[in-house]
Amino acid sequence: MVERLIRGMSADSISGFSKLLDALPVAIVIVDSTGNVVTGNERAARLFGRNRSMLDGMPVENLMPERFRASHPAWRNRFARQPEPRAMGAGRPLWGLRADGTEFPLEVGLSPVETPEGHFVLATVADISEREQTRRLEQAVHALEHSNIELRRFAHVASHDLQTPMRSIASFLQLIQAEYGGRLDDKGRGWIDRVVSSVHHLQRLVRDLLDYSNLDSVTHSHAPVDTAQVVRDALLLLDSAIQESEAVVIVGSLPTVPGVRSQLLQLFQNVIGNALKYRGDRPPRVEVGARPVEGGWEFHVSDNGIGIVPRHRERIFEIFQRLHDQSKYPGTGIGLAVCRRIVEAHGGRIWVESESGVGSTFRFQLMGPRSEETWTI
Amino acid sequence: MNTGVRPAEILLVEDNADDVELMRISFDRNRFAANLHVVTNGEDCMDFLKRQGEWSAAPRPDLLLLDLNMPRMDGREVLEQIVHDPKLCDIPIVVLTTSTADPDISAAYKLRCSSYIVKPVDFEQFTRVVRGITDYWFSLVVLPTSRHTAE
Repeated sequence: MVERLIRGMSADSISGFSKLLDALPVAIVIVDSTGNVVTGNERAARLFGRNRSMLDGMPVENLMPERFRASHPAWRNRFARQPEPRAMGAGRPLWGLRADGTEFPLEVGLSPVETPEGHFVLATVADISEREQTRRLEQAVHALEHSNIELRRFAHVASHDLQTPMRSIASFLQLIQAEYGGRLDDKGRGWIDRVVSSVHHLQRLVRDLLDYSNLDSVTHSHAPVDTAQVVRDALLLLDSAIQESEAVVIVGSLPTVPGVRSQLLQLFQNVIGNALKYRGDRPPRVEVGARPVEGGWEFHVSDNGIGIVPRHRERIFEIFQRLHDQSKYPGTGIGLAVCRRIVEAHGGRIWVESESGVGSTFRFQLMGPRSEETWTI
Repeated sequence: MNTGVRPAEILLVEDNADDVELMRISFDRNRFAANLHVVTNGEDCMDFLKRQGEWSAAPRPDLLLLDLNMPRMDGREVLEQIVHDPKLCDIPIVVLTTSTADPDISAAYKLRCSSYIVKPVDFEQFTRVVRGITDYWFSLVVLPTSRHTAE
């Protein structure tokens, strides 16, 4: 069919021309003024899932999905009237059709070719499936970022709008108790106590939930953190619990690791705080240490507390999962979920080894930021 | 210093009626002699300070207690306007809010608030906070307004 381009081409010239087309690094289809394919190169044939010989003489509309075919001749005529190199489609999404009936997004560049035999159009065709996929991925990432911003806004609003009514409930009940408590009997005063303590619990829940959601919504940069100093700070924050429980805390030598200081402080405070809280009858004895492992450090916090039976050792890291009732060990069931998120943000994992009645050892590995590229979480 | 010549003039900018009531009770319980003026949003606060509209006879407050989250004009905008107003920028402002968010705290101090207090949920603590505020601002420190109380 190539001979239709240039009359009187020798067989050698035709074969040479075909080889030239095949050597080009793009898919090429040449179409005549009636819309039939004169020839296409090997890449074009592969792109449309056909043999090269099948392309010759085929109406070019056969290479596009049914829905584009009726309007295409009009577009072709428009190009014939103004034959200038341009991109096909001008912003409209273009689709190609393979022989097996599957479609793929494509981009087409059009160039007019004038020969003594007439006007032809040389079309370079590019499969943009990958680019389209990247674009869709970028859209998804954008949507996710947007929902994260929404979440942060939600958390912020929740912090204010939930706490205000809670303060009213607790405060006015305390006032009733103070001013009118004398007119109530023990039962009435007891009920007020229950409401007040429920509101306090609700407040802790909201606060902990905020901490938990803030872990994801705020971008932090990792920097070297002296965990020895972090543990000293955590122990200061836990001082009243340590004094009250007459705990002994032994801290081994601790390394400097890449991380987010405020998060690591929260991590140590929660884990050591748990060791003090879930104590048995003896005064707590807590040991904090670290050892190097491949790619980072493994920390441990051991206690002589009540321990955890094996079947609960995974559950405790899930949000809102609690093993005890409020009266014995009050809590929100968020603390260890926060710990797990922090550890995961530092590229590690957290787990517990324990013997019921003997004690627990929480271990976690800090391996540096989850994403090496950005150093943010 | 509050010499006892006149009660302290305190402007409370607070949109929550319960918090206003709790504040009044706290002042009463602390037996602190104060005229507690209340406005419920930032716009009214600025009108009060500039003695505009219904506040043409308003006294100049010795202290401003400012909530951050309010309708119409919030506490951040109030801080922004006051810090840039040479006539108002010497009024001490205590931000009193539920927000524990670091950006809020740092933004408030950058706008030169005098102190930032998170409202405690517990009423007993709330009363202690109010006592702390009055002890500090009306017994311990010298306020710009105390020098011209005779005006």
